[in-house]
Amino acid sequence: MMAMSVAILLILSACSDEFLDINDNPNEPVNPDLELLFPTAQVAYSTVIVHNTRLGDLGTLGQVYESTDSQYNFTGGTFDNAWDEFFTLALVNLEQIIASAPEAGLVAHGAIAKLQKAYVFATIIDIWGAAPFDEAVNGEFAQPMWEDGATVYPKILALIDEALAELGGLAEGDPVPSSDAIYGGDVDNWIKMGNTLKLKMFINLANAGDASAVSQIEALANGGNLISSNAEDFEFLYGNTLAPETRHRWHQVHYVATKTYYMSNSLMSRMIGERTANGESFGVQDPRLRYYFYRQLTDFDPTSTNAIVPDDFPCFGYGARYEDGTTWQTVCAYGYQGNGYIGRDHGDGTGIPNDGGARTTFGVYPAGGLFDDNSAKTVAQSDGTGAGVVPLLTYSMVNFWLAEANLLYGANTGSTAEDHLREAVASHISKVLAFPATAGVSTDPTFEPTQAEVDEYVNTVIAQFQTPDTSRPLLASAEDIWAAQFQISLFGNPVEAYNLLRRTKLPVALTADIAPNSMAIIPVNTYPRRLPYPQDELNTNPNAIRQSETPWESTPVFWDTQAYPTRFDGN
Amino acid sequence: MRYNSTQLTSSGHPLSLVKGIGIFILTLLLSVQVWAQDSSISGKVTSAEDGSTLPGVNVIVKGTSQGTVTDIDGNYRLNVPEDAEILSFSFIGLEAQEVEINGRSIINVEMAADTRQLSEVVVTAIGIEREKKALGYAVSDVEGEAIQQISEPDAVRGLTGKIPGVNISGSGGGVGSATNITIRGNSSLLGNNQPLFVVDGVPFDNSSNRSNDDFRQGNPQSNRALDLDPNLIESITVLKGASAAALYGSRAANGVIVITTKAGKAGSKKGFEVTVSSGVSVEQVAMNPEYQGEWTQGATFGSNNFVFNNGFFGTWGPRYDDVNRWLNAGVNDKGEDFSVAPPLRKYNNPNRPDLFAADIYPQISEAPTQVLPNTDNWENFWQDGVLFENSVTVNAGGEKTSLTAGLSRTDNEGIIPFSELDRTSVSFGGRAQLDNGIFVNGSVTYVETNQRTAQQGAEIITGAAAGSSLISMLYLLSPTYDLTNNPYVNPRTGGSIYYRNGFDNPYWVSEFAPINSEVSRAFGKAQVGYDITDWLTVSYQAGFNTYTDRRSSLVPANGENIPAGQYTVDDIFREELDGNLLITFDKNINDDINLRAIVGHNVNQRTFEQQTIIGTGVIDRSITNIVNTGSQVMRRDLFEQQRFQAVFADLSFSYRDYLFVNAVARNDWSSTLPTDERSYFYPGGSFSFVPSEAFNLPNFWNYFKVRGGISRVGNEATPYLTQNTFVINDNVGFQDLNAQFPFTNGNGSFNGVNANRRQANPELSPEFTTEYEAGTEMRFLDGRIGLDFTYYDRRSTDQIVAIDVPNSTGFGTRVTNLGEVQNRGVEIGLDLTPVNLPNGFRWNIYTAFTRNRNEVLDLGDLEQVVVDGFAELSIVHRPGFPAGQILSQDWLRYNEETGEVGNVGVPLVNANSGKALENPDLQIIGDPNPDFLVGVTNTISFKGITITALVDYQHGGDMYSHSADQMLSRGVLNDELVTDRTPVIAATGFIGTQSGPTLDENGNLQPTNVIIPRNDFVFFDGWAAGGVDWHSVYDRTTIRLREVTLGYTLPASLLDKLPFGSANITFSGRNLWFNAPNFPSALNMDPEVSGLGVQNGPSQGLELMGVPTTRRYGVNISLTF
Repeated sequence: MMAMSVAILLILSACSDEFLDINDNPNEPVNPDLELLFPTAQVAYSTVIVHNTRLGDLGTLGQVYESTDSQYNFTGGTFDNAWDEFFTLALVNLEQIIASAPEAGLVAHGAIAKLQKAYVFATIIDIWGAAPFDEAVNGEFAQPMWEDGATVYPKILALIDEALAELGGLAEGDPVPSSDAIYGGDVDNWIKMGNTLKLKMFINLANAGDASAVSQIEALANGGNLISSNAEDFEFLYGNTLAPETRHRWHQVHYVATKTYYMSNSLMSRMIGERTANGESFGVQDPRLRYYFYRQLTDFDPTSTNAIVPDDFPCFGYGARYEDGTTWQTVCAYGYQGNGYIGRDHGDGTGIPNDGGARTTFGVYPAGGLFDDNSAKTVAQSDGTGAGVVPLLTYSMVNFWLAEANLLYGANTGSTAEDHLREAVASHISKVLAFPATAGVSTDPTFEPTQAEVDEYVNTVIAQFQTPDTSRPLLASAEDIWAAQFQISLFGNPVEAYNLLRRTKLPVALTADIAPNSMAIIPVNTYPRRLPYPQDELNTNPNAIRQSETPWESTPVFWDTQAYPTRFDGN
Repeated sequence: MRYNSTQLTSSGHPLSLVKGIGIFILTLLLSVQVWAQDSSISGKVTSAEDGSTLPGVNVIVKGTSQGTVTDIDGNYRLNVPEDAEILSFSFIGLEAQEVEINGRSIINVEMAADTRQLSEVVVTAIGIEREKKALGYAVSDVEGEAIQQISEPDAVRGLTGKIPGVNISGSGGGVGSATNITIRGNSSLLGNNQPLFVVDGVPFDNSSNRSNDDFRQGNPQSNRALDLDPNLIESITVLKGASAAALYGSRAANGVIVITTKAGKAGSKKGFEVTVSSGVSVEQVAMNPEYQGEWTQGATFGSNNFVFNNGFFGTWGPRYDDVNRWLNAGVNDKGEDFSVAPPLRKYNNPNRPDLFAADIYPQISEAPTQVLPNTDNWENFWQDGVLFENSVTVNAGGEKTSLTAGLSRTDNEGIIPFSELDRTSVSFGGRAQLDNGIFVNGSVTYVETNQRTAQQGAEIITGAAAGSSLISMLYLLSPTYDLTNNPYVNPRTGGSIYYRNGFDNPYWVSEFAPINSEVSRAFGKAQVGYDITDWLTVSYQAGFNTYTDRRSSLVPANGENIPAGQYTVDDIFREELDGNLLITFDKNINDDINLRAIVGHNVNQRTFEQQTIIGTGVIDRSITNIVNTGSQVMRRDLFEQQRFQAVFADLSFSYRDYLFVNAVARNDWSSTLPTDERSYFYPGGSFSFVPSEAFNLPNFWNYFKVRGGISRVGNEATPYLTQNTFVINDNVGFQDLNAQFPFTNGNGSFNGVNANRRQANPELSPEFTTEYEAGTEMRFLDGRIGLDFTYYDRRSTDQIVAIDVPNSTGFGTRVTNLGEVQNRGVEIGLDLTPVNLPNGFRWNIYTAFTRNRNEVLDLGDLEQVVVDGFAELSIVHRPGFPAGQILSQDWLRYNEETGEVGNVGVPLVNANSGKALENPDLQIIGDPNPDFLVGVTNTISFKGITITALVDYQHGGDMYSHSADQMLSRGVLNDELVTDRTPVIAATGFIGTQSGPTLDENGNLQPTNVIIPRNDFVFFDGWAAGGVDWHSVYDRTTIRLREVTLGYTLPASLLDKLPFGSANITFSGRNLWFNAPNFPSALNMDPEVSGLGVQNGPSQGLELMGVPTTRRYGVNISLTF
């Protein structure tokens, strides 16, 4: 009878509602503090831009570093994760801030979230060309309608203006975000970021022949409150810890045995500064060389067979790999640069040899790795700090863009293209040279460039800009020289490097490094005009534009209106 | 003392616990019984069959409560009142007898088997025992013997091929690797398709509890049915359909596996019996691909320029003969200097003390003088495993009280070096029927299962994504590398030594990078009931089932993947509490009609907790704990709980023992659903009609039954799906991005929250499965032919699923009620006895046939639902297709008849490269659902010898094979496609572009004429394995000799001289032979290497390289005393 009583008790207790009211998640909050959403979004969008399985490969399209992606064999799945995380780690949390801020009286929080939302959407449109905007990240729409970039761009610009107006209307003492991992809640810097983002977008529009964009650029250039010093750069800094993992992604995957990227032979060649047959170099060593590149070997002899067989390196410049009947053909335009600068030519699609211990790899800027002090060692996790940076919108970019507007679109930017270029190059060099201190990486003063060397370099660039040498076909015009410098400065931002190449088709040296008749490395695909739409989105959203409707190899984004020279497609 | 406890437990028994509990129960008995003493009667009870003594027989003075049970020798002594007239003797399975005393003081009795009870009784839902002929639905029951003594430590795998309608597939041959079991197809779109396990009346968790969120890292974890030792199982009943399972409620929609352990069984036939069984078996790798030994490691450039390179993955280099000839001469055929660098040369760098090992291993610095193919790397890697199984079970008692204790131990060393599994079970159960109508029973089992295996994720080696897995490089390793004899560990650092940067040596992984799981599990129940009258019984059963799984995983320092080293601990806790009230009314209304009604109440609570800590940076390599790591990240700290309660009723009418009608109904209230949706009701009904009892059928027709039923089962959700939430310091979402919170940079230190990827649904409603089934059972010619046929049609609607949604919504998945899936099929059990001779020779053939047709009828407004996989190789559901299609890349094809460019016709080819163009839209490239399964068991028995052979056959079902893909494209498989290195022209295809074929000046199609080196043809975007995934989909039809046993039971005449009640020896072999003819024959593919473990959804269509399957040979001895 005991059992019966127990049973009846159990049943009675079970019948009460409290017994079943246990479905509130005890592990996860429903209404978190808005402050906690900022760092999440910032870490996400910054990391997506450089991460090698996200948008990092755009650096190989922008030709600031290389991999076997020269085959352009991307598919809908290649950039799935980037899309996913832009929306589910960045935008969803920014939208949550935007939606909740007014009620909480946190105007600055909402406006700063809007600026970041605008930055993420501008990036999405620039690389994919189309995306949902009005119906995106909105609980009411399960299958958001896609919109063309030309439709979305004005909406992004309007969003920026809305945010800038809100920030402009703030009163002294109004609350600002305390968890802003980029500007620490500095409203003035966010206003400059917003204006600089507009500049970036108008540059794209101006290139597409939009006259009103040129006047907008002029307005921004003449007192438009743009980012005006390196200290105001919109950039994301990484930490130096392994667990929790806070290091720059390039440090994570290059300071280990297997490396994701090769350094670009053509970029290294140009920065080493020795005039080669192709003559693309400025003839003077770039002060940033030892900051960008760390050589694991300095006395490497490619003809020796024991340390590493030469067959490991298909493009040494001293020979070739492709045998057509009886004839050996040279397939490498740049090849091995000497002195241990071991990289890869663009277009070289041959397999990856076991060369992780030999390649030149990322240095202290922007990855937080080692400064090249001729120590020539196999890099390991413990080398450098990993406290690198992702430069998103910077003072040097502002000047390069203003030079572009002046030079290419005839805009009156209140200064000459030459002055903008000088400021762009000089400020970028000073940023890079100061970076080891930021990253906590030591340098050897013996190998640091002197101010005189820096000045000589800048003056040489400007002199060539003033008087281009038409005998050097790859640096034959002012535009080429501007673009070559802009490209060097974009070493840390793969998205902008890709944008530059698609927008201007400059510098001309690029994209056809490999002799076109080498069978092993003919790209199967054309140079990607934009990224393939993400396959996961296509698999789940019937409102997405089908891949086959607008082939990604042949359909550029809306602002990319000028024809592609044949060299882009390799044959 | 009249009631001597030693009568029950036998003096000198080793298990004093048994004795102790026996005394306890007898004390209970004594406390409720009062009786007078007058005269004494004694005697002996023996078996009418063979004259053996019968212990435990119940002897009662009729009309009183006085009685006793016979002792171990069948003797009894009883005081009876003077007016006593009759003694009744009873025992389960024997015909009860009433004997007049007639003044005798010695009464000996022979008892015979009760023929009426020969009609089968099966355990159905909630432990209700029913006659099989009364059931309106198909059930299959398997005696414990069928899964014992077959050298299979996994009870579920032991059922393979034996039950129609049930599809069981293991996931490779690692010790304790998971086993997938589905009944009547995959009904659930995305949820769990595994049946509910019920052990001794209590739900038994069979989760896999994956430690990683990402199936790509899938180190296959065991599913927890592994905790059931086959030696302690009395019987297994499979309730296949909704009609059978409805009373179990929510989780029974996929069928129920009802397991009765020896400790939980109803009673003991023999008064006292000890069973000892022992087995040993050897296991070997069963899948041995043939590697080619003609071509070396390297690449082919141009058409015939073969370059040796012992740093490559690929084996596309020159012939071994040529390389050795060049080595001898010092120059190659082009006249260039030729030598071969030592493959491990990177360990010869004195400036890198963390790598340097050349002084320890001379071969690191010595240039090889010859290069040889090591085609036996694979076979050498796997070791011979050993399996020991030992168990003792003890039964004691009689009809009214009985006790069972069991102890078992399994030790399994696996084929992966250093892998092992051990399992120790202790169980205890007992029951007592008191004369005042109260009955009690209970059982408890404690199991410890320890598993040590190695990092073995079924990795796809693309880029740096591959982890530290022994599998990732083993399949495709070039035979040019001598894996067997080259060193694998640097004793100076403990690090891995391997030819290829970024990968760890498989030997190093298996020895130094273990994954451990230590499961401590207890389950049991207690039931108390009261027979209020002889037709009304009330009982309550409380059950529990709980375990902790303490897992750890180590990647030591100085490996290639995680150079700092990493140690992860993952503690999992599950608990299930279940209470069942049953009120049973059982009465003959008149001579023809019997009514049995059961009403009940069920309450259940499930709790899950998991804590995961990842420690990075191993400090001292001799120590393995979390303190010995440089920094720690708390990955997960979860608590989940759900409850339901239910009321149910089961009404059964029988008419003249040949017509049976059954109706069931149940209403559940679940905590996991929104308040106004939490109550849901579902009814069902079935009938059984036995014409062979109702009418006079011809003599040859012994038995005929028809049955049919329709039922509905409702199902609840999992917890916390009704509210959108935010994840704190989301290391799950950010894990893949390799950025973790709390995040510290130069600007400060930040915590973060992130919107949960899963969009909740506050309007969730229960899902339902409705099933019709009809069937017949027949026996002919004295049972020489038996047929059991079932047709079913099951539809699952409004499934609760978390579908993948466009990321542009801000979410990854959304919880919703969706769709309709149909499974229909036939199950046939055919039992033939072609030979049955008077001398005892008997040959029986039992065939289990399963054919299931599956179709996704409706997906709402969705065009497809993604089940699992990668963006470009996934399993999807599409309306109008069978569930779980393989979606991936195909060529861009041109249809000559229609002129359309799409997925039909011959491929279009790039004019320059000679390679086929890829269709930018993904296509369905395969259907993993098998056409049918057949298992045929032949049994020949003669004079104590029994030989069985089980052959099973799966027909059809596609599978994407990553091992075929990789071993072909890397040039290592001994297949003509890669051993013939002649450049090729693609056989068919027209020159064209994405927009269509390129016509020549005359407007004609241009066939491709570009000659491609074989390396390119097979590999880079080629025409074979390395090209689109369409190439790597194979029909996985498989025929297999699953199980062979040879058993010998010692004859009774011999046993008389021995102290045994029975003795049995069995030799067995498992998975002795298989052939999957549609795969490249050199691959020797066993399609049961899925490597994916138990999947939530039909993902068996993807083979991503897993631990190969095994073959076992064993011998078992079973003795009873």
